Amino acid sequence: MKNRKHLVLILSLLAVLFGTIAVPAQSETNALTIGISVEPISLDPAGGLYIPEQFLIQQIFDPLIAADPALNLHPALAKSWEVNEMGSEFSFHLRDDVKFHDGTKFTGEAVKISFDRAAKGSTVAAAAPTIFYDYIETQVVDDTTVIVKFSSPHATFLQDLTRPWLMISSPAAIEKHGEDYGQYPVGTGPFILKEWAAQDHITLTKNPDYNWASDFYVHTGPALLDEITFRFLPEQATRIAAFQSGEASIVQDPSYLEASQMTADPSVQLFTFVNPGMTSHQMINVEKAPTDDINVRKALIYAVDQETISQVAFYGLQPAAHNVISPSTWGYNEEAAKLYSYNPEKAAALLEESGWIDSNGDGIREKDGVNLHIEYPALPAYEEAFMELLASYLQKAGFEVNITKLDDAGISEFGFASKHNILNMGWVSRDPAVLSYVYDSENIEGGNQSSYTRFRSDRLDEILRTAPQTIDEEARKALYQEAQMIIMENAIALPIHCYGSVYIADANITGFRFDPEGFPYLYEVSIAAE
Amino acid sequence: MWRYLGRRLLTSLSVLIGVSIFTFLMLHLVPGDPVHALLGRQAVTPERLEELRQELGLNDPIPVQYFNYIKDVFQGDLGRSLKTNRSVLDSIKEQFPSTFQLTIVALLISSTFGIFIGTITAFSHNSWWDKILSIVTISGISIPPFFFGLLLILFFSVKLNWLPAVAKSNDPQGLILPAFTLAIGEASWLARLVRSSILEEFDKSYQWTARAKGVRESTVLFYHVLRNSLIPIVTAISLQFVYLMAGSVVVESIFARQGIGRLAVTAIQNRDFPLVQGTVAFIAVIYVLINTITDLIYAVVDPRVRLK
Repeated sequence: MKNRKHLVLILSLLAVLFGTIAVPAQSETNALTIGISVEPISLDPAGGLYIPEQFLIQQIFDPLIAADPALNLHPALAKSWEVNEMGSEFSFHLRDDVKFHDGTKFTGEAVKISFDRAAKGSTVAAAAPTIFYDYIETQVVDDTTVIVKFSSPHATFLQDLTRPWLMISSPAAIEKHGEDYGQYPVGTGPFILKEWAAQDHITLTKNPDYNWASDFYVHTGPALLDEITFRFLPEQATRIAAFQSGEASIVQDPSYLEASQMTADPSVQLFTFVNPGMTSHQMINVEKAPTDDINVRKALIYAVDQETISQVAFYGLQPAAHNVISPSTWGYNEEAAKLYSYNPEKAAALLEESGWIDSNGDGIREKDGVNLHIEYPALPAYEEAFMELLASYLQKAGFEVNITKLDDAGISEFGFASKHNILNMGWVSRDPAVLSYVYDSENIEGGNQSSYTRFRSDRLDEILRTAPQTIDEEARKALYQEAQMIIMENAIALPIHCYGSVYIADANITGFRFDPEGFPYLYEVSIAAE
Repeated sequence: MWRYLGRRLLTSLSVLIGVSIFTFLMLHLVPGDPVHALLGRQAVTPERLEELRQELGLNDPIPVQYFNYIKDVFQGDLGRSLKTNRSVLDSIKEQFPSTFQLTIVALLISSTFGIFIGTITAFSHNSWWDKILSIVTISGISIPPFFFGLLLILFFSVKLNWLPAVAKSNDPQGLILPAFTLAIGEASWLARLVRSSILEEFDKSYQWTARAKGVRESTVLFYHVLRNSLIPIVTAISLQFVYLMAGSVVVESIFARQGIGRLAVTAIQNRDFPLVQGTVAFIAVIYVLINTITDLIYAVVDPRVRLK
């Protein structure tokens, strides 16, 4: 009798245990979960820095002007705009039917407050102040008219306006939350922040009042999804598992191996996009031997097979690069990209021409008893996938390569001390103007100290300084094409791969298309009924 | 007793001061400029760099920086994260409950399984059961948690679809896989400890005296042997709490859960000084607190300890 009581107890305990281990609840039809790799640091447009912030800010906020995937400009919060002849003053005529998520009205004052904050930046690493380097002020003429003034012609401003860093915040919310505004962002966008659990998830809900979508979107009115949860999944293996178990319907940056295998699966959609801006390339130091010799620099470029690196390291999902900027960047120069292609014989000939010969048969070339040595400080976070492969190509050509693995701060110090021969660089950006950050010789000793090629060319400096102030589009494009040519002809950049956005999505996700920087317009995304 | 208590608390306090100095110095000894580390590859001017150093107080001599930090801590201000500008104290308050939950559930699992398996293997010493379970427990100690966690996800989430792999941190279902992942090593280790501890008691002569007095075999085993062998095990379990908290760092990353361990690791990677100091100090306080409580309980239970 006593034993049977125990049995009943054990059975009921088991029942309770398995009761809790039920199948995970099916998500509501109109709620979407997206697995993203990195958690944003701040959702304040004036505080954001990089990919995770950009993706989220674009859902919550609206720009004054919006860009379609082909980079054409369309009215958004601004109905129309004019530019003065010099290109330094921009007037905007604003919509007067727009409300922030907190119910306050969108006016010219909000534009002024948002831009003033953007010029300062609200976190140490914010991207906005870099764009606003020559900002003077925003003048509020009336509720629906503002004039933005710069101290010099600012050719990229209209395109910059479409980026998340210059989107418009609610002044009332900024006032209310003060230093914590980055955690409680309030915009006019199609989605409203519902909750943010740090190291866990962010949930957005549909803005039911949204009725001011830009005209290039495929629909008007509120967004099609009711709710979006962004789940932060830093481990690649976990991101794939979450997708396979159905806990996330869209996953950003899946492992390349698994994503490339999934292309054959009809229940999975793979979306890829080549990001504009600087490619991932090695900046070659012209002041440190042996790369002070242009033949050695050219040999470095000829020695590397980017196509194979792209296939082996990235399963082709980060395409090979042959130029300092990527083909999807405005002003890309096809000719500069054609200067070099993988050619080990040519590399050998160039090295021999400069007197580098392997006389003792150890596989490393020497000259006057000195080995052909390359110092390569590497940041595993960006270069893990290809750094050994790159080194092996160089070794095959007769170089001796020393890889030193460092973190960001270590790399900056190593590079500033000019101890490197090659150093990785890359910068996703809409416009080739980004080249000036690391190719203007002013940045060797001064500036941001990131000009790691230590290459000084008056013409290149002149281009990089005048182009951002050149309002005429064709003239500006010609300048940047010349800049790419100078960089590649002098062999100061060894291109490796383009950055690519990679997403996998369930088959029932519809309306997925990329914006000019490789983020999906979630406003257009919906879940098809099965 | 009171003198022992006083002495013990004084030791704890000096440990805490040591920890705070050590974490403070460690961050300054790592090569590279912290401001550069913060900014990553952002393009900034030297003026802005200088401004940031000023803002963050990095230009003050190190002892002054340390003193300012301690002063703020006593005013309940742990500062704000350099990277996200969030209040450090709020972040800790937000992240700790998840780690605590995970640790407690894992502790329950590891002590239940550990004592259960350890007792079975000891009592059936040298049988097939003992051998099979010994292989299981040794594997349990050897398997790295990040690998075991992925296996569990693959089997229970992807293949069977029974349990969520990455449930939100406040979902109790999502606690099951992480807790087992965290517990397996400690459970196996505890099982080995319980087994050897019981076997040791088997050799002692008091049980022969008991048997000679005519005490029943089950009473000898459960009342005398098991009870005496549990003394070191109780200490082991309280120490496990601390080990599990440390182990939660890995498990929190695999299952993408909230937690204090992950917070600390991210902060270290970002060289986010205030956040590193805040989290490390917090973890140290918990650690010292648990050790102190364990020692005090021990002193109450076992008079030899406080007389030493």
